[in-house]
Amino acid sequence: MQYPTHFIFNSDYPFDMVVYYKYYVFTTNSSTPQTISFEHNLGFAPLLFGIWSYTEDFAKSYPLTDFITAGSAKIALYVESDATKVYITKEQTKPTSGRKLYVKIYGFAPTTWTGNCKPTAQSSSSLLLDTDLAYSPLLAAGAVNPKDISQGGGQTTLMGVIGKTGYQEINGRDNPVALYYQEPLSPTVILWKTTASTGKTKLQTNAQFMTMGFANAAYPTASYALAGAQGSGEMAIQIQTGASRPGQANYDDVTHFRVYG
Amino acid sequence: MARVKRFIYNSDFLTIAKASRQVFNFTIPGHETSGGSYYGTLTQSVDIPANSFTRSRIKYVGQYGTIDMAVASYFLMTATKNGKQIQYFCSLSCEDGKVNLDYTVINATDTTAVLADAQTFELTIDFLTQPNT
Repeated sequence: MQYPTHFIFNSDYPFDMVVYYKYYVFTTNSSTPQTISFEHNLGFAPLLFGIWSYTEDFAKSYPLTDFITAGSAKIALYVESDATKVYITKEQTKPTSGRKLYVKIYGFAPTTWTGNCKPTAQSSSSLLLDTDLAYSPLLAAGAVNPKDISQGGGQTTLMGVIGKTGYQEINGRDNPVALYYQEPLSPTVILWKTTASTGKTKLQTNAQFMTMGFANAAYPTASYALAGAQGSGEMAIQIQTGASRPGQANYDDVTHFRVYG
Repeated sequence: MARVKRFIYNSDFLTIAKASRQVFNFTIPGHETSGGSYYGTLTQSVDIPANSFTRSRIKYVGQYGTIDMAVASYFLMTATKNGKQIQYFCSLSCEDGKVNLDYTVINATDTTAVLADAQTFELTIDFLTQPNT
């Protein structure tokens, strides 16, 4: 072990379990968007993320995103899932045919899934824990619906204290979600959104809007805020998932979050 | 071990490793949106393998107030200049030993050339990798 202090293993907090892995070679055609799909056989919509590359050795890895930002090539590649399939979509400002894009897709199970998953570790000879690397403890995870504005006041805020008493799991309806912590803990957050009207789940951009602009409610966000006196180090992560009321299309949308130490 | 029931690690499943955590300041340069947009790449050195991806926290303090929020490997900021909406699309790509912030800046209002402002922000980045795949 080269760096003993980097080996972080705390039995109060779970590690990420990758319940889905797929390596895929995506061959472009002249269409944009161009979508392919295949079965994942999980029984639920996995929370997908991953990387893609122009080369098989992944010498340069791009995130799976629907933002066309990969320099002059201007390709966007992103993944979505539903209860049965994985969807990979390519968008390109100047579509080209026959180009190979190499993709690695990973997936977590949502906290709402309580069934079994098939192993993703392919070989007992694989070193699953590498002591040269750190492993982020999972401080909290959950799945929340948009705030129900028809209920008015009196709704209970979904809250938890993270980093002190072990893993926190929060499922329910947002009003909003507040996760309190004490610095120097510096957690990071990943969000996915399941859109009820399409049944598809997708990693979120956490887009920020400095000024007027887009339909802000379409995006869940996770913000950091001071929760105590200035200098106290008492902080909170506030996860906003939008607002809705029964009968609206987004009422059963789900924001999935995972918070890491 | 007092709380053995909390020991949650299952060798049937792959997991995600953290190769590094670093804090960087990035400045997207100001430039004229000739033809409606401009793009570029900002690079920082960091001890990571090529096969890496990121999750991040962005801090911005400037003319639009204070922003402190989680972002994925890609994010969007918007601003206004001369009555035009300026969008800054940012994406983090990883190579062996370095991280790149690829940016594209566009005038989202029309195709006229606007001298977009520079934008400076801090990113706390967790560099992640899956060493078995």
